[in-house]
Amino acid sequence: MNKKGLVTAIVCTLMVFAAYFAWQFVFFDYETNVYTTTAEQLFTIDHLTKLVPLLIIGLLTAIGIVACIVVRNHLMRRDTLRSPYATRRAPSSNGRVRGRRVSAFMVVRWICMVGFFALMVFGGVLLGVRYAWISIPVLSCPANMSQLTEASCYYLAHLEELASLPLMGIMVFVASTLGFVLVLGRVLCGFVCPMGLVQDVMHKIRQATKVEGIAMTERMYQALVPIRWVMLLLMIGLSFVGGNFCNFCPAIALTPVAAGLSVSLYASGFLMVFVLIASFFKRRFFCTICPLGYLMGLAHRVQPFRIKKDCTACTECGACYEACPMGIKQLYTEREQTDVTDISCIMCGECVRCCPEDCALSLTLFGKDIYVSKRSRVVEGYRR
Amino acid sequence: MKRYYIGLDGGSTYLKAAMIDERGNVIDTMVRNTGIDNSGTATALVDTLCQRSQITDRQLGYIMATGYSRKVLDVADDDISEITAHAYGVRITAPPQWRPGMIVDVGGQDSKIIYLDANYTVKNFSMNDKCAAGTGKFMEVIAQILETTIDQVGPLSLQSTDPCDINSTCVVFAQSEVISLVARKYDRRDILAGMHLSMARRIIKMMRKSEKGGDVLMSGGGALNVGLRQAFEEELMQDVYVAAHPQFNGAIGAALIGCERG
Amino acid sequence: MAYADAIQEQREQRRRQRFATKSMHMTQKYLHRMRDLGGTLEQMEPFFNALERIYVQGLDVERPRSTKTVGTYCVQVPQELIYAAGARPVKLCSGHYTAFSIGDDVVARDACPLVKAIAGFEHMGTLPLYENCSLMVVPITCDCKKRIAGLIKEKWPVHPLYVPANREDEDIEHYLDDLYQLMHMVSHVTGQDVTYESLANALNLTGYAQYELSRFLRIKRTTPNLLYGTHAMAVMNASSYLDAGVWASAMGALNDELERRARANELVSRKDLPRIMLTGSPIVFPNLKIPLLIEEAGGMVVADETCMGERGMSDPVVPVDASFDGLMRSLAIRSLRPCPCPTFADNSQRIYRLRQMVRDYHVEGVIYHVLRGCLVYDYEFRLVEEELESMGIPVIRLESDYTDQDVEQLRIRSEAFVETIKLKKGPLKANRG
Repeated sequence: MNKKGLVTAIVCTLMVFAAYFAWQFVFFDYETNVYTTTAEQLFTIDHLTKLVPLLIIGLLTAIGIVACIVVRNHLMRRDTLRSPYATRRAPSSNGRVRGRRVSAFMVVRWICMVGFFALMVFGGVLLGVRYAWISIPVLSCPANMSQLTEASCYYLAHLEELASLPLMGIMVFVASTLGFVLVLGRVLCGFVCPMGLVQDVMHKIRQATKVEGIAMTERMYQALVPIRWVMLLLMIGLSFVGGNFCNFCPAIALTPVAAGLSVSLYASGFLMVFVLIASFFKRRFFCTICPLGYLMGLAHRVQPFRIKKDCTACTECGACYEACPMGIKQLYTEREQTDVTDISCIMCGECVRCCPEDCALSLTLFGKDIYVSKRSRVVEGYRR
Repeated sequence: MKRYYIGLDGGSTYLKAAMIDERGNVIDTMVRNTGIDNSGTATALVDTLCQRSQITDRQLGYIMATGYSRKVLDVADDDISEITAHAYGVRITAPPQWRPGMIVDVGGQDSKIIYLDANYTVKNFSMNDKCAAGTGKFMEVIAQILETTIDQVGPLSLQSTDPCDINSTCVVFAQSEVISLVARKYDRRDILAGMHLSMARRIIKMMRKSEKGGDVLMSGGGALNVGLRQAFEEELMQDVYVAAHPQFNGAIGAALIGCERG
Repeated sequence: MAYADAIQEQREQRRRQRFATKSMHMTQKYLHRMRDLGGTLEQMEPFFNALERIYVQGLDVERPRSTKTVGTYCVQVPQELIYAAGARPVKLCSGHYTAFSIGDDVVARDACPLVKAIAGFEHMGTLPLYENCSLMVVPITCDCKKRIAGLIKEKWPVHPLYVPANREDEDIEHYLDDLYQLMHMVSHVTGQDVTYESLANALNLTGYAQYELSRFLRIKRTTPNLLYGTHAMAVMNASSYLDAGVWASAMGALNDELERRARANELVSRKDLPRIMLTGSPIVFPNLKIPLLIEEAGGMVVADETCMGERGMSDPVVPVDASFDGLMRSLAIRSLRPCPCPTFADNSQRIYRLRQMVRDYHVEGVIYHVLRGCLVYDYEFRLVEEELESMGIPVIRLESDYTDQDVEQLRIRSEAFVETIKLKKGPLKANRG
């Protein structure tokens, strides 16, 4: 077994261990957990104090990131070739590569992400409504029982509880989850999921501070595959062996805490710190191992959002591959098929945004172009 | 009123002219040495052709020029490249059984291979205009050494029983090789047969094996040489056809293009 | 002895003088032929002047005294790095016949004429464009480039840039390391450090040039027959000798004029002229023999897939990550991945590039240009021919050298090819009158 295989095996073992014994690793404990909130409680001092776990996570993340940068610089000291440049940053906004125009598609995507986050965390409470029969398969943690809708991940992680529901309940859950999966698929990952939002925010912070990330290769992506399987196994199976995935899943540290609930964090808190640090250096790191995302990806052949490619217009420049947070190589290597929708594709549209050839890549809905690659998008910003 | 069209093929040694009617029948052909004054010779050819068939100025339609000196012949109305002209010419001069394929034009100073598709459209062409091997010049030079004429080389070579191997690719060196063969008392006919094989091989080297389909047709002065035709048939292992009026194929083709113009 | 040396020195002087005069005449001849084609615009003068300045007037590129020049020899060298270090890149692949005739005796007999011309200029030492370079960056792509890197070492500091034969992730990583090394080297030569700001500004500079080029190509695509292909190639060639910003703003003026003419339907030739695409070995000024022949024969060079023409600059840098390494990485991938140069082991992507261009420019015929001795392009001819045949596009292979002696032979072939295309479209129209 080679070195990478060994590292992956160790990581998987650690994950299983941490997941099973999650409740032993206390990050932030409340004596009593409160899973609901009211409109009056929002935006009060009490609400702010409940945000402390998030602040701690943020602090640890910041420390972790700085530590990683320092360690990397130290290790790179001996590389006289690259180390002098590793710390080069722009002193001001003058040293900025102009290039790309802002895309309407991207603006819409951010609005959707932020909007959904606000809606789930505050919307339900403010509007005083809750549609518990709708289960959206995103990591908007259902520990927040006051949010606008239900999220599918709870029952998927506790299948025996799902089985004990009345038949009607099971059918509603299945229909709702399946409905979203078949109609939207992993568009939910790119446009809706709060974990996605938080990872994209980390990425934007890195872009603004010009810190060097981790350049992923095909081999590195392949090394993540076993980790994804372990996550999936843990999510589905942990409840059957007496564990609780929710004590391990990092999503519990996000929306419930932001809503001001008193929810205890165990291994999940530590994992959230890790996820934030990782997604700082590698865009959307968690999405590459997310079990829920993988399940949604299984519908990639049937759902109506597709990435279409014009293989003649493509120059194999690989910009799409570089830009893709999920590392989908077939975007640029495919030479025959016109449909390059992959199981990992989260429909973020970065590939289309970065593609410099006219109409080489496009995001389509029922065959109609929603977002098409254009040369002008890549070079117009350089105009003087 | 019947209309007539003239095509002029201005080579470097000979200037050829052909007259056709609007049906595409070849009325008359003529050839003269080019001399120094290309244009003058061409004009004289046109006048003589008209006189011989009693064609008046009004009956004369387009005069089209092709060949090396096509752009300087004042008497012509327009010019066209030899490739196109030869491709058109075979529409008239090729024997009926010939299926459009390859035209092998062995001229005085160059040789060409023109590939046609079933509709007589030019698909591709190869030319050898850099060196004299595989052209009429080669035959001339060898004929001179063997003290015979260019008309005799063909029939003589057919009488050969054991063709020699001519190795040199260059005309100048082949000359020396032939002289030494003569000195070693090789039969003239065998040497000529060897020369024809060498020429055929040289031209076949220009051929692109990928362009299959159809038959081989010879045109140009070299097509009159039965020995060369035999050599081609031997080397290609297939039937080789010969165009009618082979030296005038270019001129006939030019005239035909003129006819289409009106 | 000193007397004999002095005589020898004088002889050398006279020889160099003759060479300079002869090369000047050669360049002038092609400039005249280019202008005689007709259809030149006032906005093309800055480009022609740049070419004239280098090869006729024998001056150096126009630059501030303190800016050093760095010679580059293939498109795989990212010009942005050179700008970032405060130097000026100049493309030194040569198209000069006179220099070729000198270099013919210096390098291998069967070497390509491009490299022979480089050797010729090195040997004679008369052209400031070459002489004043502070560094030569030679990508190790084909055999000839490899050997010329060794040869010119006699005169200039040479930095070989190893271009990988494949474009896998690992190859990109290695090439990235080599780019850092190149950056060090150029910084060392100029004495200026590469900062994030200078690199970003360099990307902005070349990005501006690329914006104007994209505009130019789009104008050519939508309104054919706006300008002769020969002039387009000369204009693009001129980018080798001009600062990217200067070239870009001159292009901007040209583009504005072309757009105006497109609206007013002021074309330089009939719309039904055969639309020919040129592809193959580099066509470097003043070796505009082939596009001139095609256009003099009544064809229209609507597109070219050659590295000193359209293809050399048409792939933009796409910065995906804003960190310094991210910018370097984007340079590395742009230099390697989309480059359809036959020096890569697998160049099948060139077929798609040609397909797209045939589609974009409504190409009716392709002329595959091979320089004598250019094996890599010759290797690909079969593949390209098969592909084009399956698309129903006629193609011929034209082999040429840096000499005027094969002009008639090329002319007859170009004319016959143009006629073949014309015939496909309908009965032939008149040439004269």
